[in-house]
Amino acid sequence: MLARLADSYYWMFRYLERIENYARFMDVNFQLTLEFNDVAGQQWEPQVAVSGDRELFDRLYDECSRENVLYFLSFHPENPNSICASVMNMLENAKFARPEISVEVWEQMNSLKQVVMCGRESEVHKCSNPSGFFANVRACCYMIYGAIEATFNRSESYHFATMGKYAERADKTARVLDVKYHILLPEFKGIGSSFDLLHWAALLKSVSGYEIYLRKYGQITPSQIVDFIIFDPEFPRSMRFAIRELEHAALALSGNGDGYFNEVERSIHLLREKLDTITADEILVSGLHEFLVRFIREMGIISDAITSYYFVNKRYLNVSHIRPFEEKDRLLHREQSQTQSMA
Amino acid sequence: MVISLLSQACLWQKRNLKAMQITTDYHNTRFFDEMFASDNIPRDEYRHFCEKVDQLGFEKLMELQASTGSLQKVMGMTFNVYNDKQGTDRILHLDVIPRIIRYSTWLQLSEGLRQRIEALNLFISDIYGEQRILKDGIVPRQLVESSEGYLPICHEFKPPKGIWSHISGTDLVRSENGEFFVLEDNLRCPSGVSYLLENREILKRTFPQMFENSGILPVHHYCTYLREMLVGLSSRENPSLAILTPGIYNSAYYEHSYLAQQIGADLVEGRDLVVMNDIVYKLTTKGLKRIDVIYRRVDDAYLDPLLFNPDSVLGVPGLLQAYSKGNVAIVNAPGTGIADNKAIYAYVPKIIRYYLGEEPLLNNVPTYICADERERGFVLENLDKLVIKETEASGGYGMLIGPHAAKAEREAFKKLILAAPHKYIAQPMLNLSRVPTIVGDHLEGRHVDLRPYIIYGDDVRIIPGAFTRVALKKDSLVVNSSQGGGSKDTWIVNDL
Repeated sequence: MLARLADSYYWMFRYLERIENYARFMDVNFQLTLEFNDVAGQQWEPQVAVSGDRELFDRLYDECSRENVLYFLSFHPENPNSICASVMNMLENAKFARPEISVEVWEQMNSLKQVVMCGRESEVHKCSNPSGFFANVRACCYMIYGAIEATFNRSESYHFATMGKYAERADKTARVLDVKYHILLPEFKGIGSSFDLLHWAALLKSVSGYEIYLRKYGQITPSQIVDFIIFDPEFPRSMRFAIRELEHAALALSGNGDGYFNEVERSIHLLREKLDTITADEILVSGLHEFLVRFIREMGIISDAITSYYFVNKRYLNVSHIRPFEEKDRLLHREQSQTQSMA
Repeated sequence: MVISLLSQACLWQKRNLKAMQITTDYHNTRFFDEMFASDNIPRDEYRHFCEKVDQLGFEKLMELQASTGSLQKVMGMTFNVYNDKQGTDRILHLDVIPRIIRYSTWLQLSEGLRQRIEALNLFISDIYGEQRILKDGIVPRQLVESSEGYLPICHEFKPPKGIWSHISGTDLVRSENGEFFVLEDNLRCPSGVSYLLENREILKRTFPQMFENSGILPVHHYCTYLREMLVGLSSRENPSLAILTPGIYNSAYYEHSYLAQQIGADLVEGRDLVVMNDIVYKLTTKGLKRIDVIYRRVDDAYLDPLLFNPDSVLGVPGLLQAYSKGNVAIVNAPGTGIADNKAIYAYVPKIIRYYLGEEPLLNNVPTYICADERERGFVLENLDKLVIKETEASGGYGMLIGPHAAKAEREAFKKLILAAPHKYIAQPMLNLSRVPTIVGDHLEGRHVDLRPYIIYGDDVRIIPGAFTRVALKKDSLVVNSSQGGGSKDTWIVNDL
């Protein structure tokens, strides 16, 4: 397939995953705040931290009020990672790939856009109950995932899409765990109060893992939650699960067997091995935050490797007089360079 | 005799003081009405439609109209305003009341279009070949050589099968008495065919009951014809096709992606292609893959920065070198713009007689060439009766509709013509035919044109359908989408 389209598929699905994550994080947090008096916006500040766009937020706002945070993460025109911007970016990539994605997926993506536009127009960030909006956004995302499952051609494009989805998911799961864990700063021995209990439950709900976790472990235990979110081999939002899916997709793309044969496979392989050989207790002793920061950085390295190996694609061009597809062309043509939070 | 509810909807206006003017205007005999003959009796071709609307009710019709817009958005039939990250979508308004043409009428039009495209193609071949028509003095050499569409480099090209203009979209209009005239031959990159095809899909979704036993001829095989024509241009087995687009910000991007999907071509931008050893390749995740046929939707001037506009990032360096070696086919061939010039247009009847020895089957609009001193004199004296057009302009720009223009505007055009007479032509104002169109909560007559699409491969093929553009502004004669135009589905129906 066209190298540029591979790029589009990868990012289309990163944005889709990002949209669903943002909507879920905000909805879960909204439900959480209903049980507390939100003193000085303490309950919404972590949402900004999870997004990794803290700096930008501080430049635009003085306080982390609910309205500010909801607007910033959903619609703010200056936030390149807002739900709205991600929908636009997803659709822009979908337009590039339009001839190859099914009508069903395309129409669902456009419906999602309509939902988000409606939300922006009706100013849901000011509503007393924004929950319905986020539920609609998530429902649209699931419709898209469903349409993909039912109609997407299982070719190269599907593998690039899968890589985009899991690269984004691993990144967001790591970020939400980092921020929430930091707030709770748990004693290793157990849960302090009903306040803590609600927060731990919210963390699990943020990764859609509450029910699965309870079925497996039966009770809220911080170290088990960390173990579950990082390592669980069956939970589709655990970091390890995401890395394994990423590796499968990369190997399916290259047709290589187990192991690594190019820079993409190598970078994924190294991270996966690390996750396979370390335990939750070891991480907690040496510092969860440090571990997660390292993990997020390595996810960035993987994403860069995918870009340079598959999309920028200089390895086939050994002729000096032609100058196709360089970085400045990409920027020239595309207003957007794909966005990724760095913090 | 059927007095349909539709005509009642028009009649009803008579009781509506506000719209009285419109209704009186509706019956103005200055215009040919596509739907109604005199006294609000539907023409034969509209009878079935009007009966169905009677069953449906006018209210329902309004509901269906409201649902088409959202359907277009879901289908992504939108074009966005350049660089708008806030996602403002524009859609080309689709009016649900179709434009209907009888098959017998259509056959006559098709024959005329076939004749015209064959002659124009011979003309382009000749201009970039022996130039017999110039040597014989049928068309003035100066007119051809001063035209922006004339590309001397094309003398070096020999397009496969001798065909230059593979895809054209001729604009036809209907005068007061219902006679058809050719307004323009669009031989470069005519757009709109996706609207023809998708309008039909939308109407089938919103109006399924209309299509039962209606005798409406299908149009879906356009893409089959298109693909067969493109494949036929390469001598290689299983040739690889690509549609070259300027990118997602182009207003016709939706069409480019739609066609690519329908014909199984790669949708590429210039940056996806490279030329090595005079062969065109696309950059894929697994290396370079050869491209055999390019259906380009990029203008001549941007195709190859090595030959034309050096700053162009839309094209592919070396593309035309590969083309001249016969290693890739380009559709339409570069240089077709020479036959798509409003001054050359005036000579098309002569061109048809010269190459085919036949009388033209389709009318040309009488055209005055301002470069000619005698004709210029006439034009300048009659500015208030004529339509003035810039020869190289398109999209409804660079135009003066004399009878509708203010005195100052006419004076301004007079100066323009005197400064550069060869850049202007004039034509009598045509009172384009009208079709009832939903405006607010009632119907008004709106002017339309008709653009059929002609595919020229091993033979000339025309699907029974066309893109009908409608000027949504009251009394406007300009149907271009850039000037407030919308569209209608066009039904060619078997005669009853």
